[in-house]
Amino acid sequence: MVVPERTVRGGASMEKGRSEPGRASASGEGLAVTVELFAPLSDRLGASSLEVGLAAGATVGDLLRRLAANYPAFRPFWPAIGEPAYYPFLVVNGSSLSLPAGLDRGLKHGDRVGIVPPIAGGSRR
Amino acid sequence: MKGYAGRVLRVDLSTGRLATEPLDEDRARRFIGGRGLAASYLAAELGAGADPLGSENLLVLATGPFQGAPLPGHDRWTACARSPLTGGWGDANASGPFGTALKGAGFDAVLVQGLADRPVYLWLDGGRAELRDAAHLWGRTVADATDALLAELPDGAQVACIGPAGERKVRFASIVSSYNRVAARSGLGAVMGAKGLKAVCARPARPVPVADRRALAAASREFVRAMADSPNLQLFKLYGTPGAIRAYNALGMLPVKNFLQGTAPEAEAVSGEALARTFRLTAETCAGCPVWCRRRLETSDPVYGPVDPRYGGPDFETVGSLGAACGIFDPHFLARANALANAYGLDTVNLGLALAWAMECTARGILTPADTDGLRLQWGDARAALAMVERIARRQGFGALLAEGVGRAAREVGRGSEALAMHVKNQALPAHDPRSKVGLGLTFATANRGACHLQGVHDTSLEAGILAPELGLDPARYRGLSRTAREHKAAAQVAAQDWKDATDCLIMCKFLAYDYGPGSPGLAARLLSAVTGWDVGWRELLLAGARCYTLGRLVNLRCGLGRADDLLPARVADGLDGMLEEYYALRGWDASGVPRPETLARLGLDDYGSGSGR
Ligand code: SF4
Repeated sequence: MVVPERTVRGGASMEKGRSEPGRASASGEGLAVTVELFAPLSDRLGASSLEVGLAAGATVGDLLRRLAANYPAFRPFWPAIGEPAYYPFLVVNGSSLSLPAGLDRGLKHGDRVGIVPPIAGGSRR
Repeated sequence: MKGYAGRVLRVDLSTGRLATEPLDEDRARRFIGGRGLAASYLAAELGAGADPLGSENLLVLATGPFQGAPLPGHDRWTACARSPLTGGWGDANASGPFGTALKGAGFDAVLVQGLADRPVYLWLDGGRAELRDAAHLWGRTVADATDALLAELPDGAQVACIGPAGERKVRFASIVSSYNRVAARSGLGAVMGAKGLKAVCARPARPVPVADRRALAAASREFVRAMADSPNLQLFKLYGTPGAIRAYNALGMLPVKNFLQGTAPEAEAVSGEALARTFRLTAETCAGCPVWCRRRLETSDPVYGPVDPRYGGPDFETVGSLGAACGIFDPHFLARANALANAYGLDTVNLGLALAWAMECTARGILTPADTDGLRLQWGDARAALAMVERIARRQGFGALLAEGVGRAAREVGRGSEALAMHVKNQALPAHDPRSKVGLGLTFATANRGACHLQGVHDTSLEAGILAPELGLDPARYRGLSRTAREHKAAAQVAAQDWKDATDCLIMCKFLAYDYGPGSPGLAARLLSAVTGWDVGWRELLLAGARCYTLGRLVNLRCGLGRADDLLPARVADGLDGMLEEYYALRGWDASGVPRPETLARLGLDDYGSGSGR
């Protein structure tokens, strides 16, 4: 079988710690969290993490709505309006957080929120 | 009959007799093809006393209606037999052009019995079959044997062969087609080795007849469009299957150090992203598939010995079992170990978990270097692991014990090591922790070939809300249901097992099918109808899947595997409590796991009896 070649090089344009434009505010009445991204979301956004500023008292649900509003790549998982196509898996400070139950969880300044797209993994054999 | 070659080949290696027989339409429609077709022969013909490595074992290489048809996910083939690893039902599935070649050479399936008195290979071309001398190929690696066969056969020939591990009857030896398309699980390479069958080679001559090309093209286009929205397929396209490693690590689902841990910071070093940074990876695909999930791996800096790019790069399961399970987070080790496994013809999952078990035994003082040929098999020791791979493939010293598979090796060593052996029915666990996917754990416990992640449904898919309405997976019930919850999981596994078996009858790439990809039972039924001209609905397709699953169970029962073997290793067994009873009831099996007569009647399998006969 002749297969056309395509070279894949990983991590092409991932800037670590890219800030969300005009939103980061780590002081005063707001709070800032670090969103850790996983493929294919990280590749779509061209970043492996984002710093996101939120109002005091913000919840995980607020964070997801903010991301969906600002970044179209999140919309399949959490559209700005209505129900998500799929729930992503969340990891807050190293611990899994179930959705939708975890949407009301409050966020603290400095929290790290991993967003893992719904993938199954495996290999055919 | 459209979609089929319409003939099967019978080979008796003891006498050298070759005979063809028609594939009748009733059998084709009832069992569709692939694993179901193979099961229809094995369940009818395999004797209870057939030694998996003896003359009576029936090895079936099969295709289904999709092979050679212009639709994504068709580029595959399957092998089935009594497994020398599990002692019961055995199957394995591989991608690559060998399937289309087998069918295009004029055979839907090849049924092999007997033992050759000297090495042979089978050559299939233009509807004719011939056994040829393979003395010059015996002892050669997969690439050497494949090169030699391609040099002596006409252009267009495709090769599926075994390596030295299959010749030496390593119980988890694989069959390798096209250098890196591996039918890995269940030890079917050892069945070929025992039979003296080094290779099966085929050349596609006839185009496969398709009933309704327009309907097929329309359904295929729809299928391809839907793939663009699948997070899984986007991931596989970017990084191949190891793209899932980072996510598994973050979610605590990796089998780190023989399933002692679910996560390790060092696993980042063997993620899909890290492999892509370390090596020159070239994406490859299967005919007609837009996903390109496969990788050719080249390195200018081979740390542990040569890496032949033709053996491909490590896939997710290989990173999980040889890497995470052994605590070896070194991409160069994985490149070399994967190439060695494909050169010798070894399943990387059973290989990795056998090494991981030996490493845990060493860590606990159950094994010492005096037991393991002077090698200290410590967590993370790449060089000791690679030296042991060579010894397993050649059945030397302690390698001969590991060549029996982790279950048998542990029973032989004893001293508490059995509790550390991560297998079901002697088939090692793939890289999915049943504690974090409780329903999939039920499928590990019950799947006919032993622990298998390619049957049933991943609990993560249910939790995310990736559902298939045809399977009765009600969103109100499953969306947001924790991957560690037990409720409703048995019903989801039963429905999904039938569906995944249906895909193995069609032989359709499971990555493209629910729950990995967008291919639903409804879409698959439309594709099947277009290929064959039959009017097949998804209910009929799922029923064929249930038949296939049930025939595998009947073969297992006949071989002496039953309820006592539907277990998980103690380390990961917590979630299974109470689910087995619910599962048997949903399946229409009695409390000892035997299908009830009325269940067989409902499936139209009355003629196959209860499995205890023969
Ligand atoms: S998803 Fe991968 S294995 Fe499946 S057909 Fe496509 S390239 Fe082949």
